[in-house]
Amino acid sequence: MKTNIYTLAIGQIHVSESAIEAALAAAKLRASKTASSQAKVRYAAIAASVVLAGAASAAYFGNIIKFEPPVSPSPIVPTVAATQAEQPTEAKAVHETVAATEKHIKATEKAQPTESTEAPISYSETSNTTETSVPDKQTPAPTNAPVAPTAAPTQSAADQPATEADPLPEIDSSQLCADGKLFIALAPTGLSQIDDPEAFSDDHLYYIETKFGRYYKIQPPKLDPPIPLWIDQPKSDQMVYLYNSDGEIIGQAPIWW
Amino acid sequence: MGRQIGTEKAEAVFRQYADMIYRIALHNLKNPADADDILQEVCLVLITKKIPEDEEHLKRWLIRVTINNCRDLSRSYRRRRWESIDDYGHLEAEKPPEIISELQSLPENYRNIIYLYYYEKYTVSEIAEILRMNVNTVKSGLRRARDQLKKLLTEAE
Repeated sequence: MKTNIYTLAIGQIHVSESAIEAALAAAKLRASKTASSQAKVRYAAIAASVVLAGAASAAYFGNIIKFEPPVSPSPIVPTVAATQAEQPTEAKAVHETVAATEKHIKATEKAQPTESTEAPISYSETSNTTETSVPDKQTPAPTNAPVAPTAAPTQSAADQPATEADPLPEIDSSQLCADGKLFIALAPTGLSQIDDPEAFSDDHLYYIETKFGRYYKIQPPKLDPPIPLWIDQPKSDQMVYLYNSDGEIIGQAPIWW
Repeated sequence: MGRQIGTEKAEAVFRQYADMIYRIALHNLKNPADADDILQEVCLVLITKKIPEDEEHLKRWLIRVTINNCRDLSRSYRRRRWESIDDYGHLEAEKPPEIISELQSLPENYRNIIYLYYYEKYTVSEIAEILRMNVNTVKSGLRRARDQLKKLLTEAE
């Protein structure tokens, strides 16, 4: 056995510095994805913030924490506010086009009065082009408006918008942001109440829920600047609702794609 | 059995043992690109898992992790479906030293035994412990590997 030849030959094999750096970078990235949900969400948020550079409120991620369902998920009717009379019974969201989304956002911002008895947002499934109507009751409350908890919604289950029992079509992946996360901004256009620190107390946990039963916990004290959140694998939904841990709705927000 | 050491320490350990990991991977997989993949896998393990605290135990553990990862990759669908590099020999840029090429034609266990015995200077019993083999199996493997390598090298000359 030509031991010396072998050891000499083996000794000549070195991994390149670039290979080490590449391995390190990739491993760190993967490690960050397999870390805690909090880190995972933060990572996703930061990664996607690049994609969404320029989007309102996209710079603040301090509030993003692990999402968990409340201890006892409230049977609250996910209506957006006590002032709203009706929810759509056929709130079947369809694949939204970018144009439709922009239209929706603009409409929300402008809050043009339309048919006041209609649902806040309704989507037509009859054609490929989504029609969006935003009635005046959908208009976000003014920034200084008091929070209007809707602790005792009176609508029956039949009046509720589409639920998990009414599965929605999958969202076109091209409409999702990086990592399949959905960006929602709770302010400034959608939920001025949430900007109001008085709406929160430190001894409560707060949750965001989409219409379809996914809960996302948020940290109350840091509400300024507005809260951007990432929601994992979102359902096709147009609004999210903010609950406190008593199950009271304390706010709402449209989703921004 | 150990502790998680954090990314910075993991990085330092990884840099310290990168050559060893790469050599073992190259011995086992015969392919530099696969060896690079193993580097990444082992680095990930270092970052995310609890690792042995004392140096010598750590080194042996790393050898074990590297060999296991090589086996996993060898068995993986991803690797099996690849085309043979031999078909693209004319494009090959860099060849390993001749003796390494000869060594790579030995069975996997022989390659690891040879490497650990001659390069890392482990004893037969230590190799048996690292590779989780019987001492006598290591001894006979070492003998056979030597014989085969000798034969291969003689033929090559």
